[in-house]
Amino acid sequence: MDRPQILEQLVAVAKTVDNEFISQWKKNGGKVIGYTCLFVPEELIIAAGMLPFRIRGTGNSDTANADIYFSPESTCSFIRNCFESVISGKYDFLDGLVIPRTCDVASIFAENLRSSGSKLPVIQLMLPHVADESAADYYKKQLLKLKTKLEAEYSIEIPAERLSSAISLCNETRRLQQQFCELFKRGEPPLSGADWSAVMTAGQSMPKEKYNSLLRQLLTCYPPAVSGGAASQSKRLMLVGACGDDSLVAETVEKVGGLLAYDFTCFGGISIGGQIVEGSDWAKAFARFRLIDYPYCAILIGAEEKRKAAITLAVKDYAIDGIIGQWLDCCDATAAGMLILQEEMKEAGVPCMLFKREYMPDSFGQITTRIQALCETLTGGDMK
Amino acid sequence: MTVKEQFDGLKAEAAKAMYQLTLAEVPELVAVRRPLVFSVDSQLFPEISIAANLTVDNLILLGGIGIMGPQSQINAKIDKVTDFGIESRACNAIRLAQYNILSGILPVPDALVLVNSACDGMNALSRIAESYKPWSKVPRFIVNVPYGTDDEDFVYLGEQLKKLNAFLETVTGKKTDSQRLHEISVESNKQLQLMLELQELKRARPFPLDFTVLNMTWALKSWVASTKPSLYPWITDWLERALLAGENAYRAGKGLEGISEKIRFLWYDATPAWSSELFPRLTQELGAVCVSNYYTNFYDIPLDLSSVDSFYTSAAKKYVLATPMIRQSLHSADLYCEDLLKSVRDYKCDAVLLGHVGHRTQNAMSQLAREMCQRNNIPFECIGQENFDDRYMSPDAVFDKFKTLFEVTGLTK
Ligand code: SF4
Ligand code: SF4
Repeated sequence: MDRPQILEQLVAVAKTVDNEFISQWKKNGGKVIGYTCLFVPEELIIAAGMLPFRIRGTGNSDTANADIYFSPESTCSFIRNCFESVISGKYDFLDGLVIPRTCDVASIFAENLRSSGSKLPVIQLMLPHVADESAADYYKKQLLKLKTKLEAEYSIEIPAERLSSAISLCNETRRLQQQFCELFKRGEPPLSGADWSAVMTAGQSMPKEKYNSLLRQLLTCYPPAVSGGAASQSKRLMLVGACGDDSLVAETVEKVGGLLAYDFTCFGGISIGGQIVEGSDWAKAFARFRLIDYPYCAILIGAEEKRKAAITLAVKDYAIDGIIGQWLDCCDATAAGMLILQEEMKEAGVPCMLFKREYMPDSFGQITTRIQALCETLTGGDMK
Repeated sequence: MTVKEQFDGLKAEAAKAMYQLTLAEVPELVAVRRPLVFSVDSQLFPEISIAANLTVDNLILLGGIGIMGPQSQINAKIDKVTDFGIESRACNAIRLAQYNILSGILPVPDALVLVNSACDGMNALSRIAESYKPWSKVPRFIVNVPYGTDDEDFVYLGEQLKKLNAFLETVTGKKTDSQRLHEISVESNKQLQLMLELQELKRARPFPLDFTVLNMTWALKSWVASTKPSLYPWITDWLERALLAGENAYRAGKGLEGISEKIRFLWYDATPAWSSELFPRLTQELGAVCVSNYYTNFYDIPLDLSSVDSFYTSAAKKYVLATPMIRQSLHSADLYCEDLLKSVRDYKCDAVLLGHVGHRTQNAMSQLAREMCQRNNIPFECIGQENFDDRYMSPDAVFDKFKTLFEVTGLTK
């Protein structure tokens, strides 16, 4: 089957930072707000009439300027690449940024940006780092403050009805994305793991209405498989851990004859979640969504059971043979998450291979060898 | 007794008390110390457990800086941690503590207190403790320390501290008598006053204090006290004697014995485990005296005993804004830089040095600190040392960096 044109369109969105949809949006006088992590409700930005764009370091080639502010000896390469991209002008289409205090280095992003001479308005969002009810209540208050700050910064009002419709819109995105993921349950999925990460990343980089419409059309290209499709010929792997906005691991897995059948990374499976309760209290609903129902971010304490349950469920649903865990050098949160994952998967009897990487690695050779070794172990040394 | 003898005596007493924080005590823990409470940060609200005469062991101290002894022993353990499979580049205090849990050398506690502050490393350590299978049935309390410093942030944390008190009472069966808690809190405020007075002496030129004594004050008040609640009155007494010795030294006006003070520097960081290989050499060879660091800056935030609510809220504020490392890691870069400048001015520092690689926040703020120092003509260097592993950057290499900075900025002339 030929690759649908829509798929190519979405892949193109993920492969760059600026894209045709943003240009169109800007041409129509729209504002774009960048954000760095899932704790920022896209719903709120959409309800404000603006376009949320999740920033990443795609296409960046070095971090020389960012390294002045964020020491490479101490800072993950994701933040350094994002910072470099912003200060070097790749994100000139942004009208502002919302940065939550997710981790130690993200916490200083705004102040360093200001010091670099950037005039981009930045709003900080305070975050709890514990997944429980009282933290959700605290988070709700921070979300309401964020709304007030957005209204003040852009001289707007964000009415309740617009928030409701933004939640419905994003719920529809999540529903479509979940449907898209279902394609990977098939023995022979009609798309590659690289397509998966591209489709997920695109969803965080363009207007939601447009994305939903493209994704809906894309799904029609893949009619339901007859009784789940043929048995998988390849070993089915799952990626867990940091970032996930590139297709490097997926391509590597496929190069050595495996298949990346599920992606539980920050840009991937973690971002999809379920549905936000639609109703009057949007802030409470969003706070509970991220902290109580889907508390998968590596920075959260008190979420181990839910994280483990989600991974175990994906292993079962997607008939996963082995797990690849990736963490970024200098990220204490994901590094610890990997130690925990390893223990949990050992207990569950799921082979697991962990590796540390750079966001933009110079070479992926050693990691390719290790992924190949994992696949060979899974096939008893008999790789196709 | 000479001032030096007074300081030496205080150091010897404190070192003996601090030894009880080491892993050497672990086998004893299992046998004699029940209930056993492990906390990722025992600085949270030590007065609660002290009033209940309950020992709270700090997982970081047991794991990292709790290793008192030759540096080679610390390095050997760091290697063991890597061989065990903990490959992260987190601060070694964190890696060692993670290892102590995952390798099973710690006994199963009766209660766990987990917390997200002061850094991602501590947060990660909490996750490790939370998920460690043999501890899965251990009752736990997780504290979310807010990054904000508004009144409502302190109220939010204060409410959690109140619940922490109730949690500890329930799981350990040790009740905190309110009268006793009041007495301990009054004592705690008195200790703080003594520390604030001691801190005033840092302004004097030449520097009259033994820096190790100064460094030990926080360790005693916060760490030793929660491990050995019975030592609380002795700690007050120790602080009184430290202040007296300091005042005697100040009155003598001679500064440190055998040192001709030429340069006063601010070590805007925690003291490295291997500091004995560096700081004495700096004073002896360059006349460079350390006059302040993270752990010797005290803030006038006492416990407010006027009502139950104000009590917990003030404890929260004290933790967030007056605890070394929490204050520097959890808040805005503006506060970090303001504090730095204030220290330089108050203590007449000629240069600022910092740079433990494990301190992610500090490293991310170092350019801001550098720019501020440039604006104020303060010589500045971000070293990039590892505070626990002296092979990452040797004390000699750090010494050379200091020396070069002092030379190029004309401070050695
Ligand atoms: S990868 Fe880790 S250190 Fe980097 S931004 Fe994400 S959470 Fe922070
Ligand atoms: S020394 Fe710094 S990095 Fe290490 S545990 Fe303490 S606060 Fe965290």
